[in-house]
Amino acid sequence: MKKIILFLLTTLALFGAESILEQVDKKLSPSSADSYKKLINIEPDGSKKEFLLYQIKKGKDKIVSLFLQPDSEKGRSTLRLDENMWLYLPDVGKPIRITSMQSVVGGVFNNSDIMQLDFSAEYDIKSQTDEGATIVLDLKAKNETVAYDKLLMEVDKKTVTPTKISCYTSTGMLIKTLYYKEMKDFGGGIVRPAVIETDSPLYKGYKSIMVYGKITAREFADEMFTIENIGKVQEFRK
Amino acid sequence: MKPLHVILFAAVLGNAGDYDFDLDAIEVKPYTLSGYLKGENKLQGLNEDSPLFHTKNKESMKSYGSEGDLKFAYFQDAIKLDSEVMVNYNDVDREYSDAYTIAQLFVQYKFDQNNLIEVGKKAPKWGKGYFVNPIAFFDRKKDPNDPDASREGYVMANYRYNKSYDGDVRNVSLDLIVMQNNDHINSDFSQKDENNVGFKAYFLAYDTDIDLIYYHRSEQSDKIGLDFSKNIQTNIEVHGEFAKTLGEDDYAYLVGLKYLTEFELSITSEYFYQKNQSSRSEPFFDHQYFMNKFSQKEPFNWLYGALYYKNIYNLEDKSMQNSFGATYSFKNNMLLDISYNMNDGQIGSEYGSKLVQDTLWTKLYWYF
Repeated sequence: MKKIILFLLTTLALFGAESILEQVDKKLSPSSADSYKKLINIEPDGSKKEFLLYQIKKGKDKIVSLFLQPDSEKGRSTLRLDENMWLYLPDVGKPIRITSMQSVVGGVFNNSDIMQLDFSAEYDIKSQTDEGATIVLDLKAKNETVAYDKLLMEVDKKTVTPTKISCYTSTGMLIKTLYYKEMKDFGGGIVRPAVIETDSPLYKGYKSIMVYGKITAREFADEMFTIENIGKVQEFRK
Repeated sequence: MKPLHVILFAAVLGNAGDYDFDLDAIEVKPYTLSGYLKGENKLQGLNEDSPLFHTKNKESMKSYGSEGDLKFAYFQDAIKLDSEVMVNYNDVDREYSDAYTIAQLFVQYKFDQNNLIEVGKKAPKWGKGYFVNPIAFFDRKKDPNDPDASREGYVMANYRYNKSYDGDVRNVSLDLIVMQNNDHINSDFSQKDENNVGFKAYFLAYDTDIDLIYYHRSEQSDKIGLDFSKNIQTNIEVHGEFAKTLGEDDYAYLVGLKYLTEFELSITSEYFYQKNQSSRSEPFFDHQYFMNKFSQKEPFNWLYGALYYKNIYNLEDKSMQNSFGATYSFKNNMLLDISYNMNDGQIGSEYGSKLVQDTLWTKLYWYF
């Protein structure tokens, strides 16, 4: 009897129940939403550069970003469809395929941080450790196209949102650490950290901050996430 | 503990402004306005071996140029008006010239998410190549010295159908372009007055961009074209283009790749071949070229800066053009691009015949 119960529980855990990672994804963003966020790159001497982005996201694998500021980046758009990524520059006037490792804005954040898909779409849970108020998830990339091979994610049990994510290469080298902070109620049941700070041993003394200003659940047609529309993201804003 | 409190409080205060979000900055307006002003200076040494040298017959040439580019779009429901205007003023050894160009001016009408039409002057910019696009049948040729620069379009009507799917084919998009050229409209498109119809089918299939093109010309042979682009790894993209004139021994193709190293060195390499030479006045007129660009982003932690080296090599006559340059993007929306460019080749070769031997080229952009 015990064996049967154990088997049922295991089956439920494997196939039935939503994984902790999927719960984290749901907490961070509705499955279809648009959002505004600013990025700040802070240099060792304290000087800063700010970027303002508009993003729309649908499902686990579609996201598009439009730069609204600064003026030198205005109109620049990035589309991510699963592991395909394209960049649109207004002067060039057509989409160009880019890689997820490339940095669009300079600084510590790269494309995959800014164009983050659902974690559960890119990573499998290798192990999870209960550490009182937090759960530590050891995450392994589903395939080689994911920007970071391994993540160590600390999840706050109470809010089911990350507090810290360490990103590693396949050789175990720490690339960067992301710190999630400032829980905020964005309305519509969306309560999540409004700020993500990051630093990197590769950029000593540099820091980047991502601040969410607005997140709204909204439905989008799949066609909005195509290269034909990458130069028309401005038309999707409401 | 007090000092710790003070430190924590100071840390919070230090970030307080960074964590603020100005919601006024995201107000949606029915229009967009952007563009740049550019000032440039060229100090050029002349090539005594050039057949054009006698027209100058001196050692150097000084050029000053300025360019204004204004992009304006207005949106209302299903209609969008899109425009781009360019103004140039140049001084080449005190010979002054100016130009005013409507680069694009078209109206877009969206029937629904899948169907739209665009009518007016626009540049479709077909093709995947960075330096040259053999399948860009409805575009002006790129400037190899500045392949990313805005280009003037032609007056045309463009209907587009766009549809997304689940599965291995994620997206299909069909373009139909109708365009006329004669003494009154698109007069510099072709030497013959004719009606042009272009049909392009785009597929995102198996994570690959694929375009298939049929181009009908009323007075000349039809052409076909295809291109593709694919990321074969997270840091390697491969692409290619092929164009052929039907019924004639005339074709051209390009293969290329983009590679990004772990330390953010971008390498763009392309090989271009065309069966028949084009007019010598055009860029890439000869049979085959090999083009490379190496761009190192943020070298030595130089944030917003980049170094680049570009080489365009004519494989037929072994002549080449080399460019060494640096760019820096300032925090006040200004971009500085300084490069040293050098033509090299035997007498009579393409780059060995250029009037200009070498150029120190400074460009300063201010974006608004």
